[in-house]
Amino acid sequence: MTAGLQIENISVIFRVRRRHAWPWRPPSLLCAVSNISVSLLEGETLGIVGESGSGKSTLAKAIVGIVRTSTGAIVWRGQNLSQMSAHERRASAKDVQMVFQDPLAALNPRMTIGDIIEEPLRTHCPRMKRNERQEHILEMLERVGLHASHINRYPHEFSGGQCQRAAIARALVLKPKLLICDEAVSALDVSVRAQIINLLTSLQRELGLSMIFIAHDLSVVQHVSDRIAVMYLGHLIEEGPSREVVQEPRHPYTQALIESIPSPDPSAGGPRRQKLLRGEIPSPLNPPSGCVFRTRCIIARQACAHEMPPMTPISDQRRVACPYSVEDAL
Amino acid sequence: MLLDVHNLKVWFKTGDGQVNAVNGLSFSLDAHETLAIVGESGSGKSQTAFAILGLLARNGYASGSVRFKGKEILNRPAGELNRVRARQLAMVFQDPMTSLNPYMRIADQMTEVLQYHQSMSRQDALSESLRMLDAVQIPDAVSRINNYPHQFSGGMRQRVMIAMALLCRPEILIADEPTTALDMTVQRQILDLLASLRDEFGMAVILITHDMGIVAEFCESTLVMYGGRMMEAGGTETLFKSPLHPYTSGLLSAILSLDACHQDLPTIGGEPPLMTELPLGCPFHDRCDSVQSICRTTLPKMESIERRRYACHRPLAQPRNPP
Amino acid sequence: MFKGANLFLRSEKFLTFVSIPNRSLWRNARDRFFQNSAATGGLVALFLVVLFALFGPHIAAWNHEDIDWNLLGNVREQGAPSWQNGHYFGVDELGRDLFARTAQGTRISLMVGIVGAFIAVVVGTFYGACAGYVGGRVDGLMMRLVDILMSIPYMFVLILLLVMFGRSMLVLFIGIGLISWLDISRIARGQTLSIKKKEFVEAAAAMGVKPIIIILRHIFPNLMGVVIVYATLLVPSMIIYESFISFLGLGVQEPATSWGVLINDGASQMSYGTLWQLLFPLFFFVVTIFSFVFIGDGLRDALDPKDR
Repeated sequence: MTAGLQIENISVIFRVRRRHAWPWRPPSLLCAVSNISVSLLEGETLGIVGESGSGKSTLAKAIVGIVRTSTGAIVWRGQNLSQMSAHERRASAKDVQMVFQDPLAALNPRMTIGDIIEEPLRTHCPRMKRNERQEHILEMLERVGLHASHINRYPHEFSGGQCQRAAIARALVLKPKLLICDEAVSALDVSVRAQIINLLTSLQRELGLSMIFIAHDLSVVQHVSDRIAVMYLGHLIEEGPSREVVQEPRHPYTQALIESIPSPDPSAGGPRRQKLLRGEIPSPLNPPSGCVFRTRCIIARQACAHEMPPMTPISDQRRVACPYSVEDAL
Repeated sequence: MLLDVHNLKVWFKTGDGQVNAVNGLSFSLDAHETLAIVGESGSGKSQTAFAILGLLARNGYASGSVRFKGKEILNRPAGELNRVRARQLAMVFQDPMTSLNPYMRIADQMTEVLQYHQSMSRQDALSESLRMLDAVQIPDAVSRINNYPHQFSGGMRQRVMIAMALLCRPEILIADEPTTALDMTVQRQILDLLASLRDEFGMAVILITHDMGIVAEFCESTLVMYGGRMMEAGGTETLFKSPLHPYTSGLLSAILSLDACHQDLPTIGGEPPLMTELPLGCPFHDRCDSVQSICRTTLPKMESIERRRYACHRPLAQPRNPP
Repeated sequence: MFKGANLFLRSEKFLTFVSIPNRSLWRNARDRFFQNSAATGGLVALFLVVLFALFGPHIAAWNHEDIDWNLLGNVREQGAPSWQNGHYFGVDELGRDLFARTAQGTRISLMVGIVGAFIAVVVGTFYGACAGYVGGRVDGLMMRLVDILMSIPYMFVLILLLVMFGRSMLVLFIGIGLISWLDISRIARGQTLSIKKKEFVEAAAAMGVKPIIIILRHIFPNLMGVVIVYATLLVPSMIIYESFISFLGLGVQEPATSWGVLINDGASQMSYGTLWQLLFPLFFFVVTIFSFVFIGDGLRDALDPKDR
């Protein structure tokens, strides 16, 4: 397999103007994504986990080009996306598509489902005939489990799950190579969530898609992903094959994430496990010095305040940004 | 018995006809009990809570009976309800931002409740509010109490909401999807908090959720709703071990665990029914795997064995008494 | 399961399914609008006024320019409304037929109102949507320009324009058009800022849709609800501007007329007891303004997004 997408040292920095500040005061800088490198093989699924405010959505938006990167390169099949002109960038959007979190908000309320799915075709294949486009739309509707009769309906007439199916149809109608799902199942009911996850994984297999699957729920991410990357406050802190990351997490934050998944077994009450996380994620406008996680880490020590530990390989495929281990420290 | 709901019906009159949100729901809640009401969106679980508290929208109507300590509180005049709502029943909503006034400091919003309902002095109310903020583990409560709601993060805002709900020391706390809008790690913190507060204040808690996953650790008994009806109810442990209703078992299998990997998830196919046009017979029949012809025509009766109740023509297991 | 449930399809079957009624947001809004009796009444009244403007001059027995010499000397005694001599609304102080003049004035006033509001809506919405969507420095510059234009006392400028370039309909339209779009551009910009953050706009951008297309296809239709409401409320204010200008004697030129001119003339003759000269134009003026306000109110309720 070849590397499809390579993200090299990208950072996204927003200039934030404080309210009521004088206009000549320089805006403060918000580093939403700092220096992240990660790569994705063709046909592979990369899961990105993190709390809200961890910069995972910003990373996704940087890849599809809605958000400008400040440094670094996004290389897609040998082409550097971050150096393209706006025009070339739009043309490359044919290959990289995105599904958003809130299914109803992601569909224009004034357009029918048919128009919504047709839009990518109108944008990228302007010469395609009307009935040809119609055929593509019907095929996509069928693929995502919607009814042909839905083509003339409006988004507000559908449930959340059906809207998300329509959004997936829109993302896949151009037969992209890379699909980015940003919290695509987080807003859905549990029973519908399973349907959408199954739909996404089966479509991925059929179409040979590469996928980046972003969620705050590790149990969802590990289910669909081959590899998992964990983000915290704009930094990548652990990366590796999903089974290994879930079974032997190395970073204290990853361990805390796994611990926070509620146990589905009521009889497993017993003694409560060690609490691995305290407090809340700090504001990205004012991140802690040194390791970004140290303010909530139970094994934080003096040295952590000086420098953010770099991502260090610990095995063939795994990297982690913490030199200590929780087991040793406790 | 603290709360007794009998044959509760809730319906809305809309331009598109009558929407039946709850169709004859009965359950009871003992003091200190923790009950989970589980169902998908549109199953009527939130409207049940609103009906109990008398907070239905203007086009909403309720019938049946809701007794709090033996006293009927359904469809009572607002003045009478306000007293019950403030002192004995409190509610926490999914989105704290919509139920906090964005233009008022937390301190003012909290003391207002106490000054009005308990006729406390401003000073007493303030110290009581601080004690509650401490109880919900808001760090540095003394300075945070003068903040506005938008200055809190989602998790902290939910803590503030819980603190406000606890101000009058209610006997029942109804939490409507309190963690759905929050991150996993924060969800965990809030659930732990609710559990410890329940023991500390000796409340009964009704937790409304769509996620069976968070029910197991937190609630003693569970009630599963679908299409405005109860499908199954019972002790959480027995219900999780041997679900009787296919819908319950479907919800249970939709919980993701960290072990199962890369296979198709078991799902409940289809979509929840529209409440304007509920199907004849069992509301679940067109999504049920073990559907029979009787399910399409006849509404299953509520069977009950010991503490378990279920409404299904063809339960998955032979119902047994819990050991 | 959805698996085998809908594996049929293709065009011929598809046609049978299209007939399922689908309700767009516009359609829902229309239903709600017609449930509002004040708004429906306003619409009917406005329709009648428009009919009057369109066909009034053809029904009239007299031309709006011609003077009825028989009545010229004693308008007060014989000029009152009457079926016999064909002056249904009576005559004005020069003996011209008031029915024909009112119909003609209605035409001009409605035209000023509607054209003015139309220019305002098109220019203002586009300007505001562009400023809001592009954002940043461009937005700042564009909106400061609006601020500057707004700070000019436009009535004064309008009067200057009319004095300098002569009194003509064209100058009046240009003058009103120049200032009327400012408010709407601010409203459109504000709405665009909130629509821009919606995921469907981001989705379109991620899909590679050009910014101008995003504005036209995604922002515009979602702005329309607010803009239409504002436009219906703008029409009466345009009519009032024009009436005020005409009242000052700077508006349309004789023998053409408008509501403002007619009301001015009627008011000046009031003391002679020829009240009909004031009341007929005033009636149409008031009915139209009220109709637009009721329609605007009804539209706002019908399009209210909270009700969706």
